[in-house]
Amino acid sequence: MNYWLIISISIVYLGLLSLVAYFADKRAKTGKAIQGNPYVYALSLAVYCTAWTYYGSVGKAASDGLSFLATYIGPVLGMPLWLFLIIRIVKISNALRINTLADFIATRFGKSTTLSILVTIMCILGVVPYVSIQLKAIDSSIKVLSPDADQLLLFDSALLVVILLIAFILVFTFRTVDSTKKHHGLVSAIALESVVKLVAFLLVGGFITYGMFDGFGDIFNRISSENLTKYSTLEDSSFPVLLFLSFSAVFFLPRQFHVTIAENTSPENIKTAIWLFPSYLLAINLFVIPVAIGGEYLLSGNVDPDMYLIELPLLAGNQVLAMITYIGGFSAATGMIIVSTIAISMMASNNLVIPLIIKGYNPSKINERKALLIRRISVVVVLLGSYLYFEFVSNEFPIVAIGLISFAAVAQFTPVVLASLFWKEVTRQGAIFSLLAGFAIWFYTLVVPGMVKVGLLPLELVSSGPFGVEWLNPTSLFGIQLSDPIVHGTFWSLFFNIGFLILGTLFYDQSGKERNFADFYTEYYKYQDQSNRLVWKGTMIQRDLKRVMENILGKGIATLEINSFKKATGISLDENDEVNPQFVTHAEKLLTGAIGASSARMLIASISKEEDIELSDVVALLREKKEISKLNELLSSKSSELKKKADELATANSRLQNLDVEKDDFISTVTHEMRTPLTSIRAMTEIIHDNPDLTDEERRRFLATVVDETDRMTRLINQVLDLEKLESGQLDLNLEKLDLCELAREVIDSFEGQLKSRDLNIELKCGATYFINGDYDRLTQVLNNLISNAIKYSSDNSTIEVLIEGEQEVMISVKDHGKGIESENIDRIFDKFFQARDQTRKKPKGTGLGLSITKRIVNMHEGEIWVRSVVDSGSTFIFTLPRFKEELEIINE
Amino acid sequence: MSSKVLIVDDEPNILMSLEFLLKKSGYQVFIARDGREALGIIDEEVPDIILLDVMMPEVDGYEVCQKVKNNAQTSHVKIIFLSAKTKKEDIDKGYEMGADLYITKPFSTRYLISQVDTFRNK
Repeated sequence: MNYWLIISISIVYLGLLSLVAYFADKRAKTGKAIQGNPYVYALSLAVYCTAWTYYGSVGKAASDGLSFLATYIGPVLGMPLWLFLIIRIVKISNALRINTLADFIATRFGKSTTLSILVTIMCILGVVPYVSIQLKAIDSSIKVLSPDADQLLLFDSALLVVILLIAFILVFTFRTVDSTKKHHGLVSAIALESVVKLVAFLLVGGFITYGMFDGFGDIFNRISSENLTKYSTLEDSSFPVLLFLSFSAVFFLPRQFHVTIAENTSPENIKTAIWLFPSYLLAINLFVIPVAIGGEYLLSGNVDPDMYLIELPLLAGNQVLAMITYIGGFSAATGMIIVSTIAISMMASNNLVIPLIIKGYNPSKINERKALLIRRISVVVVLLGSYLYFEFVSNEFPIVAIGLISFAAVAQFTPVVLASLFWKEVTRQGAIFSLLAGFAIWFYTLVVPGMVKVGLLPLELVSSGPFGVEWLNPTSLFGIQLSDPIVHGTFWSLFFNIGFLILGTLFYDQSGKERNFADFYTEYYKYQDQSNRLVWKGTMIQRDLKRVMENILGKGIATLEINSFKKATGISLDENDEVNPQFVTHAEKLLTGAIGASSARMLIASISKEEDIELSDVVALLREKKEISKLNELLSSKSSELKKKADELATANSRLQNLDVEKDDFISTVTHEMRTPLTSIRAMTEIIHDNPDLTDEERRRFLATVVDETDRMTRLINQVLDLEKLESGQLDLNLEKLDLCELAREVIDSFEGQLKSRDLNIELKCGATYFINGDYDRLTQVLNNLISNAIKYSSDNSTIEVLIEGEQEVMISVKDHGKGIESENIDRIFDKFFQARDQTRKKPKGTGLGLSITKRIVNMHEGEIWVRSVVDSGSTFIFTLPRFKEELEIINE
Repeated sequence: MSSKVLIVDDEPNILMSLEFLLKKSGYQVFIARDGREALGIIDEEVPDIILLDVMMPEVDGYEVCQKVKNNAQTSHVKIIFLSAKTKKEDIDKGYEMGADLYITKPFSTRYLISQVDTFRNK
């Protein structure tokens, strides 16, 4: 294929990308940013899939089978953690205007310059090789498409790509110094690149699978027998380590941190990313294995497996698809290069160069223009550095190997970042030692052997250890051989990394400044939008601060910020006055956005006389916060308590009112019930008194009536008193062991006279001998009431059945054949004077208190009473009593 | 011809005593144990005076009173309520139904007989 055609298409592609970026920026300016779109955000995360994914996965699958999947399974397994890990980091970073990993770590440990520089160097050393392999991928793919390209040019195509990318980045990023400004154009372009590489891979993969072969089944049939196990089992012992590495990488690779955290416009977007990003990873891996198998089958041994994706369409004579593959790979590589370069150059300028300049020279040398310039130079340096690395080193290694070494480098950040979020006590020294140790071991075990391989270091180093000391051999530290150099290097670097983190924390104390941020990071939710409450203490003149702000942020922004602060707080910021500490914190945050946390810290420190924040200041601030929140809690609990009390009072009041009404009813019913016998008694006695001429027979009849009615009144009074006692709980039961059947027999016998007069019959059935613990008199009363009711309401000439049965408890039922109780009255039958209440039509037979008293006595014996009734066929009153304890125990044994 | 008095009450002892006293005073006495029975008797044998309890099964005293007073043929019949309901609203209701007198239980039999005598002579 014509070389210049390939180069032209690459330039056109970058041009299109630029157009997208340009219009996205334009839209953002008119307030219609598409970056806020959660799908754009999620797609931009797919910058994770580089040329390594695109070409390297096929190569790795061809050589090692399924183990290439570790790179994708790691992030997918880690996805649930995003909900509380990434959202947390995003919120903290937004509050403190943090946009690089170096700032994130340095700020946590008191804006430590050491950490800031250390993290930056680690990122650069870890990532430059990684960028270089993207250049290698582009270069290799061009060479496959146009084998004689190199003879045509004065310089190679990778350098051309580098120059194009430098132009693209300088145009679309870093136009203002405030790096917390989101790069709408950039993110939209990256999202588009994710779509391009996915579509390209699916198209070409689909073509190979279905065009060159007959689908998945056909391809799988062509696996050579010696390769069969490779694709059907996962016997890679390094798999768990690879999972961990890719899990860390998706968080802490500078480009991932940049798109995930720095370019995040809303924590809500993360929720979309959680399902869309894994789906993307699944889709882009769909055809990896078929392509690898197909490549092995058709091209084995002749070409680099990494390039199967281009070689296969070429073999089929399909130049267009080969070109599409190239564009997909170009897209994957450029996306990664662009974002990585931006992230790294931001760190290099904010976290490395500017702090060094401020430290070494006069702080006033730094201004907006210079900060931007430094950042731009960093872009050029990083990209050219990557190019040089590509030219001289990475040609020696396969793509995947370099990628994994980068992953192992960023994995060193995992312990420190997790500790900074969840371990409040972790110290700056712990973090520094941890990173230094981890990084040193990483370098020694993973980079040094590579240098030996390309001849930079003597071979003896890996064959017999440095100076012949075998246990220091970088490929088998302490004489321990591990399956794979990556596993070996990852294990030892993390071992020392975590070890020193713990030791450094145990042997050093946090400074006040550190504690300030430790609190903010680990309990950021307590602060919410209160990041201004972070403590600053010292003396400074407002004029100096203003000058620094104007220098770094530009005059316009500085004046704007000062005025809006004045407006919001009502604090006057007079030029000659002492600064307001709250404003210093705010200004420092603004400067952090522009030049990084530790540079901002140093700038502020250089113009003020600062006092170190005493522990007591932090504690006082926390205490105040805690007290306020405690007071709030107390208030709200008090007020809900009050409301509860008020509700209780209202219920109590209405209950009292009900009781009042009930009591009134009761009294009027009782007095009413007494008037009837009194009427008879008075009438009879007046007759006897006024009629001396009564016959003896008449006199006796009237006197007998008087006695009857007096009895009736006595009964009523007794029952009222009984009920009163039962209701007020004054009645003590006189408990004894009773034979229930015997008691029932006695009661039934006492009704003999009445039964005869009405031709009634009572049948007593006892299932067994039942002993209970009860009050003889009261239980007699209960049975008396129930049987006399049954007699009262029975039809003449019928039978009343009394049945005593049960196992765990005794159940006594009294069944009559009478007129029954209407269903609407069943629930109220045990109410006092239910028969009589407010009814003129139903005059009670009896006092109307019997069943109330009965129910209460049964309840006092821990029993229940209820009634079943069918109108016109009769009622059954049933009550239960617990069996005598010893008897029950015998049963249960 | 002696005046007819109907006693309506479901308490046998009250019926017994009033029957004795009224007969002694020369009245012709009829007895009903509830409202329905009372209405039956009134239909056949229009009494001059009715002594009426309020609380009775089925048809209560108020209803009997109302029916009697609303019927042109019986509206002249004097009605005396004898009731254990002593609240003012119960008494007022009795008069509203058209009662000529409302006596609360327990009452003086002498007073009752004297009132019955008064109504007879009107």
